[in-house]
Amino acid sequence: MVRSILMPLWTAFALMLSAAAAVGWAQDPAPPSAPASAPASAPASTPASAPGELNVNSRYTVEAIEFVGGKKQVRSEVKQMMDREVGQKLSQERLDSIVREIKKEFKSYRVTQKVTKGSKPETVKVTLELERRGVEILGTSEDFKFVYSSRNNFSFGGTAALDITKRFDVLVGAFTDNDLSVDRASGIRGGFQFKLFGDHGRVRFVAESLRSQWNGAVLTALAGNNPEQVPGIYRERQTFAPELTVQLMPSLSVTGGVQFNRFQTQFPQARFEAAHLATGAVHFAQEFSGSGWNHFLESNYRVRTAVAGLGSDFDYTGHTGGLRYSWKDGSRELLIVDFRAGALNGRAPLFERFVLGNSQTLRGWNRFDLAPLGGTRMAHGTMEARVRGHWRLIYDTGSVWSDATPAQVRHSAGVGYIKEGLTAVIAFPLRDGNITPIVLLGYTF
Amino acid sequence: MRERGALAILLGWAVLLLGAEVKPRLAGDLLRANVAPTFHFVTGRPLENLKSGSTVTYDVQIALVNDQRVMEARGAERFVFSYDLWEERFSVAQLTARGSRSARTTVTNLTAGAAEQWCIDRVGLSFAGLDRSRSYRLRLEVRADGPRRRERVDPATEPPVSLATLIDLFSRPATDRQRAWVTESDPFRLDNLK
Repeated sequence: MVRSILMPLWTAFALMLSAAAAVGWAQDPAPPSAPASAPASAPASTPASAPGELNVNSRYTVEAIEFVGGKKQVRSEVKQMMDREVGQKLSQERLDSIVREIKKEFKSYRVTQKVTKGSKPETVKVTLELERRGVEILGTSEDFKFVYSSRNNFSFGGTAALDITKRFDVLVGAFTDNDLSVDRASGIRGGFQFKLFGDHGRVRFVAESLRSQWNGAVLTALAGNNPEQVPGIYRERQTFAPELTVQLMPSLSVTGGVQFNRFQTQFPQARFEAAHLATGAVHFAQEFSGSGWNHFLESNYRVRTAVAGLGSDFDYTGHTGGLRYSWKDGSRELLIVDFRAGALNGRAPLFERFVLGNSQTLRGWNRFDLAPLGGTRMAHGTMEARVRGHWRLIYDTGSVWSDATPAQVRHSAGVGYIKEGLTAVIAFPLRDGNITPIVLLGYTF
Repeated sequence: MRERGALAILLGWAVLLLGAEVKPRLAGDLLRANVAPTFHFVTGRPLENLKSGSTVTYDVQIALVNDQRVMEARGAERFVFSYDLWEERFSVAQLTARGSRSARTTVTNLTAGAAEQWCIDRVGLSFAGLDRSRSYRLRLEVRADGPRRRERVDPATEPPVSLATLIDLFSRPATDRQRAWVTESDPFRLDNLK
């Protein structure tokens, strides 16, 4: 199965490289926020000690300069500006130039600057740290978004983190999602989170109250299914999920927690059932910088297992993993390769089942045509290449299946226009017979 | 916002009720301030900024106010503080230069208290023309701005901060980014000063 998905991906990769070379992505002009060369305020060489400096520390040499932004990375141009400061006398004016460039990139953040003693006498270390300003939107496209699909209508919503203190946030959110799971889930979300261990840990408590609506295709598919294999639909669902995340290394974090789910099933009679889980995740993200190019590698693994000891009515374990590579020119992604897979063992509620054919996977396919009840196995690959300006070529391949049904690999292709938070994609399922494109519009805040 | 500035001023007035932290003294034809050892302004957030390697600008004003709290005379100066991370001592540059563009003065290797005292010692007001037999109070006000964004001053192209600039600054309430310290002396007559 994996081989049958990877082979088309490799072929698409070669085709996209050819197409990109043909239209000349390297000739794409740099955006205004990404200067091709260092600004005039950051000269390559500076006098040992500028006259008129009011900061007494300007006589010290910069030993190192570090950017602390969590998962966020500065553009390669800014990184070069920072690197040029190493070995120079401390200059607040040049540091201000760097801070201005960082602020251009992360507009909803403030940048704090801290200078400390270096490891050698007469040297200093500079740390530039991103701090949230007021309200931060949690995550990006996963959490705060607006999505329109010509087949499945609208999804929108998100969660805001309200700064109460520097270490304590209150989380408030509302959403309706008809994209990522089998049902349309609409509801509210609330909670709070604390930072721990400096900024290297976080405890989060999130509760959700959801109401589900079901597509006719789901109900039809359920009618012919054995309820011992696929549980029925539910109307309301409440979840509560405490979790602890610890950043073990700058590029590696682990998360552990529990999740309590309580939902009102409809058949054979209305009653509440529980799926209480232990959850764990490992996340790795690393950027490799070259001369003007950045390679970003991200991988994650997540496990969710129902625990009878917590009072769960279900017994199942789900594993998902993913690997994503992106090749960036500054902050612009030139090429994205993403592979993800998952397996679900046991009898799991519908919200746990895997779905393909939405705004992120097998674009061009409708998830209700592929597997209206979702599946217990999933493998998917994506390749996106920026060909000119903000235009992208998109190729997806993957399959979602269950033990009882054989896997069938599907393919889709599309063209997208992606600029800042705006995404517009027209995608086609690659199949014999009637091909109906799906239009996807999205905006992330 | 403005409320925070007003709160700082109110706190200053509260301190006044507990006992004067500032006293007037004559220095030639100028009136200067002596402050109690309990009066400090290199504290809190400005001190954190200094110890993070940033500079902090302090504006210091002394003013003579009459019994109706109307200001009769004042003098103000601007200082930029920085903290030597290796020597663990403060450095102060005076930006205002009365009558001379090149009179900007810098001192280094000071403790926090000594740096504060050095600033206050350099602020004076002329009381020429005032009624020496009337009762006045001496008001000392210090404002700290956030980390200074513009660190480099070229004396050849940039004039020093003018007194008018500082008078304008102290005529407005402290902003959200500013910290303010205010204290007043007990009533006194200029004739009684030595």
